[in-house]
Amino acid sequence: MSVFIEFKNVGKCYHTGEVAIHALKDVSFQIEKGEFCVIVGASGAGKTTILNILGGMDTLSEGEVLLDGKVISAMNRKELTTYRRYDVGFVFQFYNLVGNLTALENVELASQICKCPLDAATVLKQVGLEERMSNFPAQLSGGEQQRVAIARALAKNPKLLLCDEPTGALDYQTGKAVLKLLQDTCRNTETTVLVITHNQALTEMVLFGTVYSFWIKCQPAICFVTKSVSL
Amino acid sequence: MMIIGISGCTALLVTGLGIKDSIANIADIQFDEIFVYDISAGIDGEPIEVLGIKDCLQVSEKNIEMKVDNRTKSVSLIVPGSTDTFGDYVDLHTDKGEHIAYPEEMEIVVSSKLAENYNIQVGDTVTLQDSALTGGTVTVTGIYQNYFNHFVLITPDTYEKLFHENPEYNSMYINIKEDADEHKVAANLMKDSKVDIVSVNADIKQGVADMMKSLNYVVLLVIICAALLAFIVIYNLNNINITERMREIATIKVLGFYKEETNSYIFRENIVLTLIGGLVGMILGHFLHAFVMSQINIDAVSFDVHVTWLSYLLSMLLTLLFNQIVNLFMSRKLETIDMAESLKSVD
Repeated sequence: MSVFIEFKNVGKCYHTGEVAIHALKDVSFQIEKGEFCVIVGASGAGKTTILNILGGMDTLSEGEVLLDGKVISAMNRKELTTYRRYDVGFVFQFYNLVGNLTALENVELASQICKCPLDAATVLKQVGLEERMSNFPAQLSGGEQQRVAIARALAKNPKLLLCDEPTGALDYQTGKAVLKLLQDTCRNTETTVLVITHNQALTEMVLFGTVYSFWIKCQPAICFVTKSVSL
Repeated sequence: MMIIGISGCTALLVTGLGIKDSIANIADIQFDEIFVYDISAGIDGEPIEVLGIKDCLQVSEKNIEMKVDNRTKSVSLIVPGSTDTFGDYVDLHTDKGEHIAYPEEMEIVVSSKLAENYNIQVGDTVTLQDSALTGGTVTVTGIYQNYFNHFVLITPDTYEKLFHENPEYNSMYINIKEDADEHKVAANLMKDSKVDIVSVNADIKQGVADMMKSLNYVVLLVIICAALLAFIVIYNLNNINITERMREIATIKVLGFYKEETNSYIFRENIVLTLIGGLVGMILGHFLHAFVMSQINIDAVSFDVHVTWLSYLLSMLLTLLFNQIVNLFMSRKLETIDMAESLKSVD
């Protein structure tokens, strides 16, 4: 398989006055298409920053990011919005559903802006929420809300699925179910999935791929990028 | 909340513009449509001939008292020398534009403000009496539209019956020729020793208009304040609205909504609320205007209380305009919402 995502010597520096904070320094890795990746690390290691840069929500200070041959880091704001619109699906730690809309409407909110979306109701069925489609987020449990968020990301039919600590607010069992759902999606639709988590317990059954280390705040911090998870 | 705020502001705009509508034109209407004569001159004796006069009418003007329902009011009694030609000098018509005939014997026609203040209707009887308390009862046969002062019109016969003497003619109403200059005619009139005062209606009209100009500034101030209020209310409400929904807006930006789509997501509500608020405000403004006009009531002047449809339209358009200006500022705020930062915060 060809290289789908490539980070080349990426650095991110925040300048506040005279102080420079290095969130990322000299990060390089490659991910192939259709892979399921878990980025694990301690808090503050820079995992979310990687995701934000990859998702076009943030810009980098140095280096290059390539996705499927396109240089993401060189795009302007409008191009990045287009990129996010059609190619990327996000799942957040705190779900970020619109409280005034039902589960179905939340998914449709995302699918209505895509070129070739999946049917919202069908996707909700796939995540196991057939009965709860007309409920509001306030009427759903944490796990169900997260599944709606996943359905929202999946309905966009993206090339890349980025998940920022999707199981952060869930218990172990529910978290495991959510991760399994993500993995199934990865296998069935050949979507590249990137999951960030600081919950290293979930990686107990991980088959180590490669280990990369990143320099952050002038201290070495180890951040594992695992290639596959068997649950 | 937004509807209340916006309707209040639109109501103020309607009131401000409505005050201008009600006050601005009364001088024009009075001297173009009611007092159609050009010059009036106070004269001791018979009317005189002066170059430029087309025709004239001798008139008796006297202050008397009118008694109605135990209330007494000092009014100006007008008795023309001839009632046939009176219509060439003063056009008597109701507020609906219907022509009123000059009253017959023992009948009177009164000006509209007088009738309004003392609840007089056509068919009522009132008592007229002079300073010596001579007089009698007469019937009201017409109420004519008039904006300044209070007038009662009678025939010379009625005057004789009431006060047992002939009316003392002390004025003349003058219509000048087409090509004559009213100020020249006035100057010529003043030269005669029998004439003690000359007033040119065009000058009075101008004088009132000048007086109204300062009122215009007050009205403009009301409009500006209403505008500022509308602007500030809409701005603040929008600001709060957006600040409360930062996560939601950041989420839809992450989903890939373009700038215009994000804008319309928020502002669609705004425009609908502004339209509703504006409509409610127009109704509120109608009542507020009527209230204000009733409060600034002066005895000697009758205001033409109304709000033109143009004022309503202008109020609505201004409200929408302010909304759009605020939306422009707000869209910049929407643009600068940082997606990553907004989503990081914990609920």
